[in-house]
Amino acid sequence: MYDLAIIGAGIIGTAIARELARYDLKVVLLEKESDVANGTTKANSAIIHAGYDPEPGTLKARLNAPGHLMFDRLCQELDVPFKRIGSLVVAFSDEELETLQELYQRGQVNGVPELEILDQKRLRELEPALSEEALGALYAPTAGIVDPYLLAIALAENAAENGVEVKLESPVASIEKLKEGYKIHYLGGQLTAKYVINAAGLFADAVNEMVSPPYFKIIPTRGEYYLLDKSAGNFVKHVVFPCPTKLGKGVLIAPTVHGNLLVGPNAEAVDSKEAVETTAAGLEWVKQEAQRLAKKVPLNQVITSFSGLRAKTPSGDFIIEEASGAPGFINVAAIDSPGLASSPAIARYVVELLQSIAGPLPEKKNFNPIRKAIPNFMELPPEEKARLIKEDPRYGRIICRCESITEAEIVQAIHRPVGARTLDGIKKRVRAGCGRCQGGFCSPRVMNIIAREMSLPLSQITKDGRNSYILTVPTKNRAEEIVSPEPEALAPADSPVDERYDLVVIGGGPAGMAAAAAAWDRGVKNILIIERDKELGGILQQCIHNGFGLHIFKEELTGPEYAQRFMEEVRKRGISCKLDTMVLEISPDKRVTFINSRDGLRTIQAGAIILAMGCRERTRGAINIPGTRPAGIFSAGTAQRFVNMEGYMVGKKVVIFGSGDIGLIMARRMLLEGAEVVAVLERKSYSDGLTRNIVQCVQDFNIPLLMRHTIVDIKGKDRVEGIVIAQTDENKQPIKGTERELECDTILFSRGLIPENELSRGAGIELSSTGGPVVNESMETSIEGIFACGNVVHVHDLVDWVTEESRKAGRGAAVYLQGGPAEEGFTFRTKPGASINYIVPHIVRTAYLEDKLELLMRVRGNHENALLVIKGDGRIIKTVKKKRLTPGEMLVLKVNKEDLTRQQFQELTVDLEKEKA
Amino acid sequence: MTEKELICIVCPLGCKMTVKESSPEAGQYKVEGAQCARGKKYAVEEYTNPTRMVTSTVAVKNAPLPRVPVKTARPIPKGLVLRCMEELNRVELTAPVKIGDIVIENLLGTGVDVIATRDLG
Repeated sequence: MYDLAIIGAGIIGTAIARELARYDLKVVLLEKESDVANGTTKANSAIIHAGYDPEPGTLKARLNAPGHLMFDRLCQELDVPFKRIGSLVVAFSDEELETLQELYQRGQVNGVPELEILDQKRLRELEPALSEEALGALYAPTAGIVDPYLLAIALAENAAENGVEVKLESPVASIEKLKEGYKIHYLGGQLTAKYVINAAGLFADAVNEMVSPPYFKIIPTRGEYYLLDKSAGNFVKHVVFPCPTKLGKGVLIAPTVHGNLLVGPNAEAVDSKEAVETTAAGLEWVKQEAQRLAKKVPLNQVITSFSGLRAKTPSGDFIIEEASGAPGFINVAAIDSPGLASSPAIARYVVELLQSIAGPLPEKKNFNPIRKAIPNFMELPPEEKARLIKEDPRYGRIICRCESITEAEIVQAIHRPVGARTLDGIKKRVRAGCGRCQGGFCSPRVMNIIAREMSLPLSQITKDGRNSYILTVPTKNRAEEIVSPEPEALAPADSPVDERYDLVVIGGGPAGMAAAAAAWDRGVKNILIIERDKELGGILQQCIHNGFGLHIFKEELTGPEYAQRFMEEVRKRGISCKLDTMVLEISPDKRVTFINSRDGLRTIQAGAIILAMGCRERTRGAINIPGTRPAGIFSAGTAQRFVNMEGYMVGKKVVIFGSGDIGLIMARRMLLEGAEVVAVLERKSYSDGLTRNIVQCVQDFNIPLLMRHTIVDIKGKDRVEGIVIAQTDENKQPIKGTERELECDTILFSRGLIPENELSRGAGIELSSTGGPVVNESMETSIEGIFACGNVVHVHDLVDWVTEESRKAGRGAAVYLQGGPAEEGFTFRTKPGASINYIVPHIVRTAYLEDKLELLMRVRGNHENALLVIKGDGRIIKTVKKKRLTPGEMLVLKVNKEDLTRQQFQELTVDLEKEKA
Repeated sequence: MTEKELICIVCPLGCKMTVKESSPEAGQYKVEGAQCARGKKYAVEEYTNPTRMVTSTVAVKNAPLPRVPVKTARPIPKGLVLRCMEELNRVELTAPVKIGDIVIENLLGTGVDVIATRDLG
């Protein structure tokens, strides 16, 4: 018999478990989900409120202020990031200014320290980004931010280390009252306990009713949020609230402890305790409210949106008491805001309550309050990093590139007490998959690590337990195999790293390989290519379809064949490569910092750098499709990797959203591998994909290609169960009344590519409207000697254009290293006309041109029989007739150097004129 | 006289073409809308005997990856694409695999081989 059972491992259950671990008791913590912190704890505002908000006299008032002051010590003991950044409640009217006074008074009564009313001027000094209409604010310097699920995990780990037993995936079905104590029947077993603590969150009413008459009802209240990229993390420095209303504390804007920006929530009472979907209306309201607080809140940098449910009751206060007629059964219910801030005080309060029932509890002599976090490798000083890689080479392998999370961190997350078993479990513990690509790059790799460490086949790795499977079956009718428990072999020891290279190429895809080879051919022999994957070739290795190389090789190659030709070019020339190596930083003076498991963390000096990092896929989060967040949602490229390289199917009944080339090609791939492709959806009236792909991937197999359609809702709790689609108007917005449901278990997003320029941004390189660097005719960026080519500059449709552009960059780097041309010339900028989306290059120095200038561009909209006019300061230089132009196809215009330099000018424009009849 | 509308896939231009069977006995075809000889050739082939390249993967043992990409060395009749996929399911290679290695010889009697499209292992 256990002394005590806690039902529910959210922040409250884990806080109580850890507090009870101080005593000599046999404690069990039961959780229905596959992980701790999986309900309200994983989706809330993450704010440690100061305590001026609750009505004096309530439990909330009694526990919030003392609770929030306990966080420094708690988070120090548990090694959890916590920042006391202070909060501001902002007033926009005289009436709201009065509310600030009321809150101030309440704060005084509740014992909140250091409260202060700020006037407009002080407020503006503290938060210049806030709306100018803000008149003043209540400043609570002791309010803070924390990572709620990391805190709950740390509490659970520390509780487990001190003897508390944790049972996951153990939903409680019924509770029997015994003569002494209770018998709890849960999925998979039963246990008895003298005392029971009901911390079941949204389900606390149901659990209470297993032993006691109903006397409270939990009303699930949904809050929807946007999470913004780290580049927006400094938008505000404090937690910024509007004035509270009856509905709640309103839409806040706050930094997160990890440096992102959080915006939300709304508050909507919902029927279901599982209604964690986002809605278009809810998110729109959040957006408007946030803009009221700060007009320029950068919602274009949203990386995902999510929603969580709060456990509210009509009375509005916490319920912490022994259930009537059920001695020793303590309800800890209705813990909505400020539950997180109050949690340490709640845990203490519960222990005192228990002691008042059970008498004094014996203290455990060897209780260890200290829990060490998994080291956040990237935040460690260089010497410490070097030491760790030496100790465990897996610290040298970056698995999640957005958050720079290493394999060693992921392995530890799995093997900790109460370790991670799922992708979301890894994400919560070490943030792999939390970044801007939302797991697109790392999820196949993380799944392999979990499978390997747990000796499981890949299909048993879930997103979040239960039925949230990610992969279905191996392709080719193969039997499934358990992933070898052997740790992955390190890449063979390659050449030692020099301190200096003439040229460092970042990225070993088609762009990097072509650029390196071209530079070599122009006399640059001391070159290093750095590639994050275990082999060269980049994304081409997963593009197993044909159609590559028509321009350069005059034949149709598959992606891997194209890659292998260039790999051969690199090998023949003896160009050095560092594989399985991630570049972390480049500096304006061309120092490159990289990491791998053989060389550790190294910084080398480059004479010139070529950026060839390619691009990433736009995610569902970035395009803001409402609905649930089940497994079965992939970006098309991630699915392509699973199917073509890992040999696994990602679903049986697939909808593809976006008719770009990757989407079309994946439609055929999925179909040929045995899946049903329900439809390919396209928001626009035309496809950005190549005609051959529309014909051969979709029409050949009678796959419905629904033009002018979008997804307005995603359904399914664990795995996708269906979507709601609607027709779109000319602005690509859904038309009300045209909604219909499609049944599917998988959605592939093929919604465009984004040049991957975090390194460029870090170096201070100027970026253009394409998302890539501003470049000149030699593909040189705004920093002298740093060049860029391929999809990192702008997204290409054909790899041949990437190759040609990259050769230009390679030659450019060689010319730069060799001191530039002798000849003189003039410099002009290029400017797209109204019907041209962009032009690359942006700047041209005529002295650096060989025989001609190539202008790469994309048009806006579809055109037939068009006349393209190239002008220099208004004077026509060249006209080109084109039968058909579409935005999906890159347009390459060539101008002879001779024609270009006849007369000096400052601005070159390209625009479209309809050909005269 | 029969005719068929096609979109050319030979190059990214995607010409809209019409194939007309002008004199069936002699196998004479008229192609409208094509801008190059290759397009005309494609149109006639697509009309008379449509063919497709098949690109897929086959299972491979003892390699760093469980699948290796393959293709038909030349296009095969369009009607055989799904049967080709079934044939590929039967194959299991053992690493090392070299680019160009024959994976299936004379696929379904077409005279076309299936070949590996990368080195692996």
